Amino acid sequence: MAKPFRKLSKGRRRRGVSSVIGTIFFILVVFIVMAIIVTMFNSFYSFTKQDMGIQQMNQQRSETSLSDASFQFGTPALANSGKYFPENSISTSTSASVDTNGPGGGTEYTFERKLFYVSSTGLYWAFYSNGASIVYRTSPDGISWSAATTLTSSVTSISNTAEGYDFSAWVSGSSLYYIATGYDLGDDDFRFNSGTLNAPAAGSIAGTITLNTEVSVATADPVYSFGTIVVSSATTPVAWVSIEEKASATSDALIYLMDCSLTTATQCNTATNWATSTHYTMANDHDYPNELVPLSASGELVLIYDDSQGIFTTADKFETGALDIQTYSGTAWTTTAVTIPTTPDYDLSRASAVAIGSIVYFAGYADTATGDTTGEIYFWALTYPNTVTTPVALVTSAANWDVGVSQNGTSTSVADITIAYGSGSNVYWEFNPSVSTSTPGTGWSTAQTISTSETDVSGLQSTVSGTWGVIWSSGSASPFMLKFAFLANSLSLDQMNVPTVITTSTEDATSYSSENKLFFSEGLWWDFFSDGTNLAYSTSPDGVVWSAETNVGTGGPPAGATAHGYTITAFQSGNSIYLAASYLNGYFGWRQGVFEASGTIAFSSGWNAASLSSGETATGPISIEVDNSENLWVALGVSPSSGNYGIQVYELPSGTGSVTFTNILTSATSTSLVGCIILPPSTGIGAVLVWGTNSVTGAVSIQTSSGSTFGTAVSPANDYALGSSDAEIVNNIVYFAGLASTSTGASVGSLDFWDFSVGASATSTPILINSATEPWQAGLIPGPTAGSLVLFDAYYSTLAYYTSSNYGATWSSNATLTTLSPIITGLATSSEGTFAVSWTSGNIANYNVQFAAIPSISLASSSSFPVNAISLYVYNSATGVLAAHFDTIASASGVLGSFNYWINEGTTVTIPLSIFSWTTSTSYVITVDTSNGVLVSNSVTSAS
Amino acid sequence: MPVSLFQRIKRKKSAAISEIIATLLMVVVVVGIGTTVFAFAVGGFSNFGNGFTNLVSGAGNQIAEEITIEQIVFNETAGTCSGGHNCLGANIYVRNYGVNPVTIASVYVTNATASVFVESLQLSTQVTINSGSFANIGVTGFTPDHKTTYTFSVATTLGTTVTANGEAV
Repeated sequence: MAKPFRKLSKGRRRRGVSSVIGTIFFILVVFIVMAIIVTMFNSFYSFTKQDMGIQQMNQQRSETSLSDASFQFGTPALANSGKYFPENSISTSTSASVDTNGPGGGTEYTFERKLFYVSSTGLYWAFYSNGASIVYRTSPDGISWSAATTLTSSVTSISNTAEGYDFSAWVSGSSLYYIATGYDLGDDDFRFNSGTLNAPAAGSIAGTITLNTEVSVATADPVYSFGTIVVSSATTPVAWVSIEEKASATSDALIYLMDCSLTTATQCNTATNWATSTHYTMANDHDYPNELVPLSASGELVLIYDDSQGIFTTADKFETGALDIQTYSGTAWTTTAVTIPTTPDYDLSRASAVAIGSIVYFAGYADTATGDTTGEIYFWALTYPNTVTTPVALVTSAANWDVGVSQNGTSTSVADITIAYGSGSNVYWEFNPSVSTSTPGTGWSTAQTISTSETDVSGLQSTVSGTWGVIWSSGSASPFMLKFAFLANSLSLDQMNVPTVITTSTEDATSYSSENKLFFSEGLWWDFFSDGTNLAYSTSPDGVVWSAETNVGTGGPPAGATAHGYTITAFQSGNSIYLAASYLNGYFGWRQGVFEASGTIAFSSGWNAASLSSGETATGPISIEVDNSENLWVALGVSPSSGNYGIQVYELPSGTGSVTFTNILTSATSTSLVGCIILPPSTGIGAVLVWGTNSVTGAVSIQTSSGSTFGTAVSPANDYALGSSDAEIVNNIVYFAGLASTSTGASVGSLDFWDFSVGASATSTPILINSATEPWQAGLIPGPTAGSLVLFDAYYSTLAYYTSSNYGATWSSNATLTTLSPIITGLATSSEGTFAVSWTSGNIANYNVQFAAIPSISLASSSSFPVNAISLYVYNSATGVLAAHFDTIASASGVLGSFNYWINEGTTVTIPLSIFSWTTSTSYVITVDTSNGVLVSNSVTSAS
Repeated sequence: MPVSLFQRIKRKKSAAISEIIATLLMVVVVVGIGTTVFAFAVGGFSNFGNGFTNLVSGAGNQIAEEITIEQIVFNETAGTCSGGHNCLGANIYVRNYGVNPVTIASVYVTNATASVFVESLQLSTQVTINSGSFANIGVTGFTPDHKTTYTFSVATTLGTTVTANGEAV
């Protein structure tokens, strides 16, 4: 019985195993096949979906309608060609007027050292004679300079005149040492003093000096001429003075070396601590310049002099004779001189030397022909104590070159040398990053031009070491102009080539920033200013070439008012222009005209004068607007008879035919000059007035009038200087940017932005645009599209701008337009939708009215959906060069700036661009690409 | 005839072995056939599926490739460009506005003015352009003639081509 069961059970078990396995396989196969089928369907679905997307994009592309409505080239970027060297990519140089000075050139002589860059202060320090005293100016960037500060006037009392060569200075760390001397045996002493060079206060470029007490140090014999001071690098530094003396008019001249150990900062301010170390006798009766050079170790010194030569007159220049060198070991001077080869012969008043490590590098004007009136610039090196290289001529066929030698940087092992040399109308520089003592004539760059338009260059001084700069006197008669140049190693390539509108004698030609002076109409820029005598304007189609000025002040403001730019402001409505002027007396004036394409203004009448309230005097700040019913509103700063400053607002109702204004608002609460900005409400009639202290920070008030009275004042947080600020109104929202401070009466502060909705009870919370404490000036421009704002700012020599696409809620980082415009004042921005700015620039008269415009492109879309423009090419079709490429991938190689803008359906957007290099009268192809691949091209020609 | 114990044992032992072997053989056969069928089925279907997916995906990728030549800049003056080659030729700016990265394989240049084929440039290093980005492709090996219009055809590895004309200055 068990057998069949066993058979059955065994057979079933066998069949069961295979069935299970087969079934499993079958299920797996079915599962996999189904998975594959699902995957296939998925991929097909994806394909279909992708295809639909592509078709949709193609459909959208076919319906994209975008056009390049207009293109503004803006101000061309600065050209940098020919300014590069393989070693360190030095870019360019520029010169800036520093000051006029007294007779003889305030910076003579080259070997005496009067120019320093002091890293602890971050400033260049220039010492010179202004004809009455030895003064100094400082500059953080070589462009903007502080006002002159007197260092010492004793040079006048001991020399009768304050010649530049009566003064020599030396800087060690942040310590200043100087001597002042007389000459021609009139005195038997020199004046010494020391001090500490201090960094400027926040917001200032004026370094200060903490001086000790000047002391008279007796000399062995009467001073004949030319004292030089240096400080040695001994463990305890020693102040050394080399000074030429003579016992009597007929005696041989001697170079005395006097020293004083600086055991304390004021040790050498005690005359008796000075002692004569040694002296060397000259061979005859001429003036003997000498180069005193401290080495970098152990207090060693090198004295370079000429014991048989004279200078200055043609007859004795380059007479035969050798240079002699004496050295100081740290304990004693040598008695036997090292002799430089007798040819060439040197004019040591036009030479200088620096020491790097134990090697002295010398360059000076010299000649191999006795009695010649022209010569060469020779260069040699001396390895302490007595190994001298053969002199090599670096520059040939020269006449009276002043030669300044500088060390680039402060390395004690690499001889990175720059020489600057000037004569007549020319100033040049060249450098050698690694001078070899075996071949000192090799490795020099070619000569680079600093200037070829000088007059009788003299007293050329270059920095000793560190950051390089050069200063010289220019002019054939008093007053001489001092000029300065430096190498802008970090000069940004996108800086612009700033065009000058006009030269003016007033530094406030375009002031104040709160006033309107720049407009665009009829295809022209219109820039208003004072030339120092007249209120005038110039026009330009491209912002590069400007017309001669047209006087608009005739018959209006008196001469005292037309001499200042801050007395005039304007308001543009379409192609109508309304001018208003503060007469700086009991009147103000206005007139209306129409911009014409010819560059003229068709005025409807002459100036209409309106008298202020009894006893009031107009002080300068003025603002004008025309509301939607063509009522004319003028606000201006006044000085009531009570003595306090205030603000007044006048209205000329439209259609009255009257020029009599109604005094709407009078305030007389401030002890500081009051400034104002008056704006038209976007809807309705009336005025929105923003007013407060003008030149220093103070409370700002915003008051609105829709008729005869102004409402309650609303004030933002912080205090502002109205004269350094700007405000615009868009859709009844006032946008304000300016110099801000948490304290009253400040002339420096941060750059803040806020807005105010007309009728609101408070302003928005200020946004900090730039937190640096500087004397900011602000110029604000609303863009033509909703939300866009452009903000220009300036301080000292730097001009930059920011953009916002959300009404100032957030701002771009600042884009520098220039750092080469000295002391920017009176920032005047253009009207809505045209991104330009004008300002006054200069350290001294004459000043320049300058102009810059940001390039822009206007894109018009008639698409039924927003279009995303992602790239812009500006192609010079004449030369085949791509002038500019802006792209959504801003970091890509060759891309100048970001370009990623949405143009809503049926709108036109004007997009500000970064400045780029372009040439006049040239055809360019402008190509814009969108995110869906639609290319828009247009050919434009730059202005002639 | 009685069966001896040895014979019983022997018979019993033979029957057990064959049974096990048979079972094992059957399992092996079933597994073998199953594996073969499974592998064949999986391979076949997988290949079919992958082929279909790749076909569709490739077609999708190809139709999704969206590139345009934004700008052509001719280099008509000899000079040394990066890599040491001569700059003569042109630079073309190609934008990928599709959703996938594209790889540029070659550029064809035709003198449109003279209707003459100029060159076929196989890029030694293929240029991959991510979605939304652009590439500046140097097209060297020819000297642009003055005032001559050239047609540039850019081909991707998937076969998408775009063309654009530019006139040398």
